[in-house]
Amino acid sequence: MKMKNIPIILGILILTLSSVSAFAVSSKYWDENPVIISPGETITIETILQNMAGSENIEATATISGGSEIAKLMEPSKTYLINAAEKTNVPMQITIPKENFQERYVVVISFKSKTAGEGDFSLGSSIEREIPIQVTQIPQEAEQLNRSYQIIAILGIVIIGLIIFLLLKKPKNKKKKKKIIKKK
Amino acid sequence: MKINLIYTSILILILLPFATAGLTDFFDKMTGKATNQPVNLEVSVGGGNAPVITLYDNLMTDVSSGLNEGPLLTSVQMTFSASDSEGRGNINDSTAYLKFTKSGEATRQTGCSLIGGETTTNSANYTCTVDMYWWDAPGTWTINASISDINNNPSSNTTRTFSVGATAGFTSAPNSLTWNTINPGQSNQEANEFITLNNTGNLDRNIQFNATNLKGTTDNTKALYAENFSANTLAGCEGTPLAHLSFQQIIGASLQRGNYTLSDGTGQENIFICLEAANSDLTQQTYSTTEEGAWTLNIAA
Repeated sequence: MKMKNIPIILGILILTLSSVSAFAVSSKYWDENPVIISPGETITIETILQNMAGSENIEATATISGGSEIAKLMEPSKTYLINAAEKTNVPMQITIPKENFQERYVVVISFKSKTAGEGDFSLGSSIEREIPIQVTQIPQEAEQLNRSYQIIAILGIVIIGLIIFLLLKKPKNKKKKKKIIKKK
Repeated sequence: MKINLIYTSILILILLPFATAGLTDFFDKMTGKATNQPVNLEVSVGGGNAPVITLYDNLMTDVSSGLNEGPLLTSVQMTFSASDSEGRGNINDSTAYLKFTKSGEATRQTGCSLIGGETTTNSANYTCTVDMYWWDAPGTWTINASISDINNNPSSNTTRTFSVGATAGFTSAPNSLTWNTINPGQSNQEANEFITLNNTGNLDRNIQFNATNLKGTTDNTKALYAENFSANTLAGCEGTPLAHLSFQQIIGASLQRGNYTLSDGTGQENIFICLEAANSDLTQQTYSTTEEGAWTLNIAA
C-alpha cells in the first residue's frame, strides 16, 4: 500500500517550550560534606530554593525520591513559592534507627517547577539533589572511652588514698607499741 | 621503718609519671658540649615590626549554604584589624588586602578599606568585600588577609578558613522548538532548534529527560509517542532514545560548572531533539502534551 504524505499540524510542528524556569537548589551538604548523625538521632536539615537571578516568581514542589526510609519533608504537600530575587528554605527531617542502620545513606530530594502549560508542548524543569548521610557511632564510643578513663582515675585515687592512709596510720601503732614496751 | 620506705617508694613511683620532666633529663643534658637550643632574638629598628592581623571571620557573610545562582555574584564581606607596636600611623592602609584561595580554583581577592572611627593608638580596622562567582567550587576556602607597614614590612594571616556550600541550577533556551513538515511514517526529523542549557551552580551535573506522549487534541487515539523521540548532544538523530514517563540520562551530556556567560561552551551543553519516527497512522491535527503532562528536563548527579 502506498503511503500518503499527509502533513500534520498544517505542515509545521511547533513545540512551544513553556516556562523553562531558572531556579537553583543549594545545600550545606554534598558528596564531600555529608550530614553526620548518630544512630537513634533525629535532626532537621534544610535545602534552599533560590530564584536570585530570575525576574518572575516560580512555584515548585518537592519530593523525596531516595532514602525515604530515613528522610521526610516537614511540609510534603506544600507548593513552594520562590519570589524573584529571593530564597526559600525547605526543611527535611532525618531519623536514623537505633538498630539495623546503614553506615551511609543518600537522600535524594527532587524539586520540580510548575509549568504554565502554555503551548502544545510543555517542558518543565526539575533539579535533583543528593544529600549524603554518614551514620557514626563516635559519640557513643567516646562516651565509653570517657567512662573507662573515669574508672581508672577513681581506682588510682583510691589506691593513692589507701597508701597515704596506711602511711599515716603505721607510725601511731609503732608509738603505741613503744609505749607498751616502756611500761613493761 | 622499712615498711614506710616501701610505701614511700611505691607512692613516688605512682606519682612519677605525672611529672613533666624525667629524673634522668638532668644527666642527659650533661654532655660537656656547649648547649644548643633555638633562641628568639628581637631586634627592633625604628618602625621595623610588621603589623599583626586579627581576622573577624565570625562576622563574615555566611556562604556555607551555597552561593547565589548565576549570573548573580555573591558579595562576601569581612573585616580584619591590624595593630602595630610602633603605632597606628606606622600601618600602610593602602596595602590592606583580602584573598580567598582554594586549590584548583581561581583566587578571589580585593583591596580593603579603612573603617573610619574605629582606629586606636596602635590599631585600625578594615572592611573588604570579595565577589565570589557561582561556579566557585564548594568546600573549604582559605582566608588570606594581608597588610604592610610604611617600611614595607609585610604581614599576613592565613589561619582561618570558611565553607562554601553546593548549588545545583540551570537555565535553558530557546522557548520553542519547530519542525518542518512532518509526514506520517517519516523518520529522522530533527527539530530546527536545539536547547542550550547553562549551569548556574557550582556542581557538575548530568542531564535527563522525562518524556510524555503528545496526543492528538481532536483524536487522542493518535499520538507522537515519547519513545519516538531522541536527544543528542550533537546535531543529528540516533541519540539517546527517550522513554515514556521515565527519566533517561542523555548519553554524553554533561553540564560542567563554569562561566556560561562566555558563550563559548564553558558551563553549557546543547541538546538536539529528534523525532526518530512518526507513526504511519497519524492524522492532520494538533498534537500536545496537555493530556499527559509536560516533559521534564532534569539535572542530577
